[in-house]
Amino acid sequence: MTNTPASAVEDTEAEIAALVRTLHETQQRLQELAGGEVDAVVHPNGQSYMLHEAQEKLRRSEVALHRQQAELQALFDVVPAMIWFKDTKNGFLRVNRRVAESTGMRIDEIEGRSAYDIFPKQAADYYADDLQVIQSGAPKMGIIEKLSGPEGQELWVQTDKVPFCDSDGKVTGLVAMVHDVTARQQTERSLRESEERLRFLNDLGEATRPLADPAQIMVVVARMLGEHLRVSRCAYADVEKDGVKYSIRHDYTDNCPSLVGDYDLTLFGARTVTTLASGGTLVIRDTDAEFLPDDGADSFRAVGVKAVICCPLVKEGRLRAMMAVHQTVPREWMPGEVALVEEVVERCWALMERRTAEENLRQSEALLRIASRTARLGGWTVDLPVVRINWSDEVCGIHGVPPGTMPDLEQAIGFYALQSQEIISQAFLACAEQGKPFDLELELITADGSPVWVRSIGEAQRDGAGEITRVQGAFQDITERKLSEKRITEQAALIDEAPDAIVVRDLEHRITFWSKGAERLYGWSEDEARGKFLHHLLHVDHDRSQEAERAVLSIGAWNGEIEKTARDGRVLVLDCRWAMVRDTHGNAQSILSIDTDITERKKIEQQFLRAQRMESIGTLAGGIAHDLNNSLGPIILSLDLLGQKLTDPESQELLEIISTCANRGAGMVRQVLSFGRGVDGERQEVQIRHLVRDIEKIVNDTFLKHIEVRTSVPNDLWTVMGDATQLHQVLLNLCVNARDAMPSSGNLTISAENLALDEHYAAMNPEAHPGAYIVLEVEDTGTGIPRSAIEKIFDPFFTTKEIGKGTGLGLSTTLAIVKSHGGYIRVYSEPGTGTTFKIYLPAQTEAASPIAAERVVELPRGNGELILVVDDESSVRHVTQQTLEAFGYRVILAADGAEAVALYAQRGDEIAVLLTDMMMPIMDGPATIQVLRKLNAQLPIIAASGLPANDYIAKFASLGVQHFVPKPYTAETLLKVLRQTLEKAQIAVRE
Amino acid sequence: MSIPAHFKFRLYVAGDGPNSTLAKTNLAAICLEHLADRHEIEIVDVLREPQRALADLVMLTPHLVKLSPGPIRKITGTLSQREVVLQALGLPC
Repeated sequence: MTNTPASAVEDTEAEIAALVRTLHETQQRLQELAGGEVDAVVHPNGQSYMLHEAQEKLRRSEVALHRQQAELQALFDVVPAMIWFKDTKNGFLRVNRRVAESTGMRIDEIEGRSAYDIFPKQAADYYADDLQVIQSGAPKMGIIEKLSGPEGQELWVQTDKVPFCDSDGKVTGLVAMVHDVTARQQTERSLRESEERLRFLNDLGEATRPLADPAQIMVVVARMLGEHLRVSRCAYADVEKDGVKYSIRHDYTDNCPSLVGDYDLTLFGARTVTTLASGGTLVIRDTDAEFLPDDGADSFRAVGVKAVICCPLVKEGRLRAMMAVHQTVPREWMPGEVALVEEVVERCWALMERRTAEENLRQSEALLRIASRTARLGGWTVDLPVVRINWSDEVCGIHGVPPGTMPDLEQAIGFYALQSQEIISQAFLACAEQGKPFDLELELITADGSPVWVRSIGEAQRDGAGEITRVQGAFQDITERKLSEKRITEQAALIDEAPDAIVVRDLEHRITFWSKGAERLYGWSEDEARGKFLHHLLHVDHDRSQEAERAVLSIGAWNGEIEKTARDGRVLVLDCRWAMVRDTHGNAQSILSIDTDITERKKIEQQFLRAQRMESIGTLAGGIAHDLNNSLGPIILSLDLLGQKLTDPESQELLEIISTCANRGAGMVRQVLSFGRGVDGERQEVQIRHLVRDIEKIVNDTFLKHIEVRTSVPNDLWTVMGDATQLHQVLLNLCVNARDAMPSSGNLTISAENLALDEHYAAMNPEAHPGAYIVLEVEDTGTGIPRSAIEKIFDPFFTTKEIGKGTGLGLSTTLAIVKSHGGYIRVYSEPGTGTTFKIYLPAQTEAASPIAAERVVELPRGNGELILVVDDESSVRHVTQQTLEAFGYRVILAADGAEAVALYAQRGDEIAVLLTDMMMPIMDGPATIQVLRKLNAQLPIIAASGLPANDYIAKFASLGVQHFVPKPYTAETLLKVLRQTLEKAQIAVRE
Repeated sequence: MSIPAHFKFRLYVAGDGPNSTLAKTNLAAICLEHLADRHEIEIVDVLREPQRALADLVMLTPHLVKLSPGPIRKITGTLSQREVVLQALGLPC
C-alpha cells in the first residue's frame, strides 16, 4: 500500500543524505506551495509518491482506525441489543454475541449463512424483511413488536434496520439492531395509563367544580366514569338505616335499561353484603361464575348484570351509599380500572361532603353577613407589636369611613368622643399589655360628625410563647338601644312622677308593676305590693271588679269608679282606667290600670249635692210654710173674733188652747222659713257680746247645774250685721245640742273673738272671704260626734236624739241662718272628748278700711329661712308655701311624716323650722316630731292642729313643741308664730 | 431560460490520503449544495493509475478538473476554501 522512497540513487551516503534532504525540502516546499493541501506527487516516470506528511497523517489515522475498530467490536458485543450485518444475499455477515446468546448458537455457526439455513422457519421468518430493506434501500426504524419470551412471558422488542452503502452509495448490506424494550414498554404503558387516569380525574374535577348540587354532581360523575370505562351502566344508591335496603337514585346507561328503583342488598349474595358492609370494594368479573344461583347469581341475572365494581361509603360503621359500574357481559376488570372506580368514588364522596360543608358555610356566612349588617356588628383586630389595625367593612361603616380603611391607633381613638377617649385608651393598653379583656359602651363621633353609641369588646390573643400578638374584638352600633334605654328611663321617670297610681297585674290579678304614684296613693311600697293579689291588698269590692274585668276581657278597656282601701285604712274613691295589655301574638297578658284619686272631688261633689238637696228642701219647706202661714193667719185672726163672741169660760179655755197651738205652729213655720232660703231677717247691728251674755243667762237658768258654763268675750268685740233673734236661735240651738251631749256633767264654753281673715286663709277655705270676722265658739266636753255622722249633722231631719226629742232641724236651721249672714260653720269633734262648733260671721269693724290689707304690710317677714311644711292636704301645703314665700321664706313641702323625715335627712342643715300638721295618715305629727327630735333636739317646731289647743298643749310640750297654730290659721297667725319661734331659737342658740 | 448546465468533474486523489479524503468530502458537499442532480464525478486514484495523471498533466494531488461546462478549470488542494472554489468553478457563492 505504501510507496518506498526512491532507491535508484546509487551515490554515496552523503549524496544520498543530501538527496534525501533535498527530497524533504522539495516535499516541504511543495506542501508550502500547495498550502499543505497536497498528498502526493506524480512522478514523470509514471510513479506516484505519497508525500511524507500525508503518509504520516495516513498512518496515524490508520492506527486510530484500528483502535476505533477494536472499540466498536467491544461496543458491538456489549450493547444490550442483538446486532447483525447482512450482505445483499441475506446472509449473516456479522452478528454480535447477543444474537448468539438469544439463538443458542455460536457466532461462527451463524456468520456466513442465511437465516433459513440455521433457524426453524417460524424464527427465520422474523428476518424475512431484512431482504426487503436491502432491496429497497429504505431503512425501517423503531419498529416495536411483541414477541413471547422463552417462558411465554410478554416480550417487547424494538427493531431498527438500516441498509449500508459503499462509498459510491451502493447498497451493500444491512445492519439491524434489536433490543428488548419490554421494561420501557411497560413503563410507558403504565405512564400512559396513569396519564390517562390523571387526565380523566382532572376532567372530572373540572366538570364537577362549578356544580354545587350534590345530585347534579352524581349525575355528572356517573356519566363521565361510565363513558371513560366504557361500562354498560354507572349507578349510585343511598342505603337505608338497616344497611340492606337501598335506592338507586340515578344511573348512566349505555344501551341497557336504567335500574333506578328500590332494592334489597341481601338478594345479591352474602359476599356482596359482607364485602360492602365492611367498606371493601366488590369486584365481580362474572356473576354466574362467582355466585351460586340462589345466592345472588339469579338476582344479578334478573337485573341483567354480569360484571360489577361496587364501592361503598361506610361512615360511622354504617353503609350509607354505594357507587357501582356494571357490565351486561362478563368483564375482566383491570386492577387500574378498579383503582380508578375507587378513586373516583372516594373523590366524589369527598366532593359532596365538601359541597355540603361549603353550602353550610356559605349559608352561615350569609347569615352572619345579614346578622352583622342588621345588628350593625363588626370585627376588628390590632396586630402587635407593630400596631396594625384592621377593621371589617361593618366597623368602617359605623365609623362612617369607606370599607378597607386602615387607621393608626391614634386616628382610631380619635373617633371617640372626648370623655370616651381616655376610657378606650386605658382599656386597650390594659388588654394589649396585660391581656385584660374589655367590654365598653362608648360614645363615638363618626366621620360625618354624628354622635353614635358603640359597644366595643376586646380580648388579647397570645402566641405559643404567651406573648400577646394581637388584640381583637367586636364592635357594635348600639345607638338605637341607648336611645330606647334613655326613652325608657324617661318614660319610667314620667310614670313615677305621675300622681296617679299605675299598676299592672297579670290575669290572676297578681301585681307585676307598682308605680311610685301607687306607692304614694295606697301606702304600700313596690316590694310589698309586687306579687300580691290586688283585690286582697286594696280590699276591692268583688262584684264591682268582676264587672270591670268582664269589660276588660271582652272589649279590652274599662273606665269607672272603684273604692279601694289604702294601707292606713282610708277608703279611697278612684277613677280607674283599665286596659288590656296583649303580647306580640295578641294574647291577653296583663291588665294595666291607671287610678286617679278622686276622693276629695267626690267629697266636694257630695257636699254640692247635699247643698242642692238642702236648697230644694228649703224651697219646698218655704212653700209649705207659706201655705201654713196662710192657713194659720186666718185661724189666729179668727180667734180674736171668736173670743169676743164666745165669752163663757169653757170656750175661752178652748180658744186659749187653740191660740197657743196656732201660735206655736206659727213659730215652727217661722223656724222652717228661717232655715229655708227665703228667710229675710231684719239686718241690724248686733252686739254679739250682749247675745252671749243673754244666752249665758238662759243656759245658767235652764240647764242642769252639773254643766259648768263659761263665757269669754273681749270688750272690743266687733259687731255683726244681722238678725238678733236668728243669731240668738243659733247660739241656743248649739247650747242645747251641747247640753244633750253631756247627760251627766261637763263644761260648756261660749266664747267670741275678732278675727281678720287674709287672702291666705280665704284660699284655704272656699266659704271664707278676706276681711273681718267674729268667731263664735261653742265648745263642750261631751260624747262627741261619730266620724260617720259628722257629714250628716247639718242635713235636715237628721238627728241622733230619741224620737220626739229632736226635730232634726236644729243644726240645719243654724247653718241656714249662719249662711244667710254670710258666715260659715266649722265643727271639730272627737268622740269621747267633745265637740267644738265655730261660727264665723263677717264683722263690722269700727274702722271702715279693710283691716287685713293694712296689717299685711306690717306682718313680720322672713329672711330666706327654709321652712319644712308638712301637711297631708295639698291645698293647705300650697297656700302655706305661697304665703311663706311671699314673706321671704323658702319652703319645702312634705305630704306626710315619712316624707318629712326623708327631706330632713337630706337637707336638715338648712331647715330652720318645721311646721307640721298633727293629724295625718301614714305618719302623724307626734310621730314625725319624735323622729326629727332624735335627729336634732334643737329643731324649732310649730304644730298645727284643728283641735282646740288646750287639749294638746300638754302633749305638745311633752314632745318639746312650744309653738302652736290653730287650724285653719291665718297668714298673720302663722307669720307671727313663725317669727316668735325663730327668735326663741336664736336666743336658745345664743345661750 | 436556459437549462442549468450539467457539471462533469474529475478528481485526482492519492488513495485515502488525508487531503484527498478532505477534497472528496468537500467536493461532494459542494455538489450536493449547488449542483444537486446535475453533476458527475470521476475519481482517479493516482496511486493506482499514475499514467492517467501523467496523461492529464496532473502533478499534485488532490487535483480537481472541471471538464464541462467549458472552459476547463483545474484546482489543486483540499477544496476547503469554498468561496475560492465556487468562483473558480463559475458558481454563485
